[in-house]
Amino acid sequence: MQGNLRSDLPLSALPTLAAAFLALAAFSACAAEPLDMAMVEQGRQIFETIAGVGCKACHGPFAEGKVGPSNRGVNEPTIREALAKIGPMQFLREQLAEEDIKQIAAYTEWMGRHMLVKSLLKRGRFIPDAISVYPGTPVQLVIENTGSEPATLAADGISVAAHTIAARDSASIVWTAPEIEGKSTIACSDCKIKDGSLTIEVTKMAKPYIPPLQPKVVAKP
Amino acid sequence: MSRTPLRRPRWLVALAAIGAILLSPVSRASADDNWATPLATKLGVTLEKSFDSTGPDAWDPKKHPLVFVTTEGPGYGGLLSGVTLPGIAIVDADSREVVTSQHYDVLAWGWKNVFEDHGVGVSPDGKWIYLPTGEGTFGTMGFGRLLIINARTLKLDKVLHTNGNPHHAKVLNTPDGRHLVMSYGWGQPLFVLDPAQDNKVVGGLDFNDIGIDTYLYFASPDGQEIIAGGRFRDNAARKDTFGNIMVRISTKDWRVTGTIPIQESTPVWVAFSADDKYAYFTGAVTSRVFKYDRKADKIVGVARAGVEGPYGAHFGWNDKDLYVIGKGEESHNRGKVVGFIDTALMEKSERPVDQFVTNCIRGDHGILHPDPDANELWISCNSSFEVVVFDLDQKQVTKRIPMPNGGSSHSGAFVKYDGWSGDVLSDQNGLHGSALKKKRELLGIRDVGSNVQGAPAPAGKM
Repeated sequence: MQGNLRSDLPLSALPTLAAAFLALAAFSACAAEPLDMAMVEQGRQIFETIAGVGCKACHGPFAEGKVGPSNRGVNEPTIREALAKIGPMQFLREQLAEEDIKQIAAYTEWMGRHMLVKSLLKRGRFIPDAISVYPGTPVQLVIENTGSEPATLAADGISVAAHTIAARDSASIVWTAPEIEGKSTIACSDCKIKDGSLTIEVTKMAKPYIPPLQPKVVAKP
Repeated sequence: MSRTPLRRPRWLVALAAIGAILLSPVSRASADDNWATPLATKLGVTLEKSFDSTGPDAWDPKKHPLVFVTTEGPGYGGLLSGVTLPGIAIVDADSREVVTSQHYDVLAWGWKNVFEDHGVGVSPDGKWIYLPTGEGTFGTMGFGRLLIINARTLKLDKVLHTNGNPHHAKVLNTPDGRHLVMSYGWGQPLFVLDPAQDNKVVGGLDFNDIGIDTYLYFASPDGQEIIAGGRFRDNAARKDTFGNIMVRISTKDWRVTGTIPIQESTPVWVAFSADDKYAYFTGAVTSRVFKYDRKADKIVGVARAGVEGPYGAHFGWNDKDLYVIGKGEESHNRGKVVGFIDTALMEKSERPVDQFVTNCIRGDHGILHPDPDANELWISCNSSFEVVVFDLDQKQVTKRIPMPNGGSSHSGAFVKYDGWSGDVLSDQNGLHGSALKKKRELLGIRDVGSNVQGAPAPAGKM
């Protein structure tokens, strides 16, 4: 036992305490000021289409990072600073109106409040085929259909509507994990190979979601 | 020839090779006056040996209807394998198991050594395999050989004598319905063979016609033109020169139709978009990729290659993300990474790039698997002696296929067989035939003046 921790605190309690602290941090972030969902949706459209390629071209379709960094959770000042300092973003400066930047920021902030969980659906298999989520976590579950045919998802134990994902497209399922531990599965009902499924386990053993901090923007020519 | 069954110990391979030397029948080959054409003579290609390649089937296409044909050679540049002869390996493209391999005892003909097979091609109908080889290294002998192999028996059918070491061989489907094979090498200009005419030379042009020495040649998906990169033979010139040209060649009359200035001394690869609009050139010295608008006839974008010393450049099934093989060309030559470029961003930024590790040492070419749901590049590894399967969806290697006798792999082609009727769907030049048609359907590409019909029904001996 070190530092100022109380000596009567059992060592085995530390992981639990840490998890509780992280969960509290996550809860605090989720409990932040509510977002205008109309702005979020408008921001999503701009994010996907601006300048003919969208922010997604560099940052990924769900802002998870691609040739550019993840920008899930970035706020309006950070976006403005990046537009001013990052060379490869210069072509966007004249394309974006003031209101556009606010709307994109609403969308990226909304994404930051959700834990991104991705799985590829490839030849009837989910990759990865098992994920763990801390109870109560807001989740953006993205399933990418890599195939050349549409794929229909069927869920068991998770209340999401049936999704048909077009060929080489993705489904984004927004969902809040229940407070009670348990397992759910998602399967592809019309894939040629049908033995694959995605298991989502809600468990306190999972790493609690911590919304990303605002990144520091370093000038790049 | 020496058949090398799977996983046979190397001493046994060597023994088999010695046995083959002792037991192989005296070549009854002789130059065939009926084979030579004025164009072949002009291009320096002659028939050195011919054989009766008929015999028992060497493998079963019913069990393996989709195969990957690759090389298994000695290696080069100080990284040599235990294999001493030129050879090929056939891999089941679905199960990824090696089906068979075969090596050719050219040392029995008095060769002093064997030049690494730097490529392999298959005729559009799947009947013939073309294996570049020779003696010496990189044109030092002033001549080389192209082995033509019966894909059914894996026996030699012909040995062509060329002006320099041949480098690559690949499918060329032209708009007027010809299903040909193009080849070229170090000191050997483009020559085009017609498998339907006993593999006679029916096309090509020499360096005088082109005006400069050239390196690699790639056919556009519409089959209308071939683009070749200019080449400085002198190493110092490649290092110290800051520009070169790409050469456009018509497949209609084998004439140069134009040149493209490029700010790169050593252009290497050309990858075409499936809609025929763009070509992408890799530059080994500047480690950049150039985007060329074929109709506008100008470079419209430049990006970092994402790797040091790029060689091959290949699209996956979305035709947007370009994967650049980090061979370390004109550099360390021990590349083991793949670069990634979002080509949609090349006109907006020089840096829409990323990099992925494969540990495929001195990887050079990637061949796109013809199943869109696979979306894999099969990358030949010259110096880790394997083929790696790089999943373009997961952006990682999902399978390593060691060469059966520990030899070097160098390029490849995917061939679909229905019985012994074959169809090359993909090689180092990209997708062909029904696979190219499928890609265009998936991408909604219409109204392209293209040649996507399948290969003709097999005819003649096999």
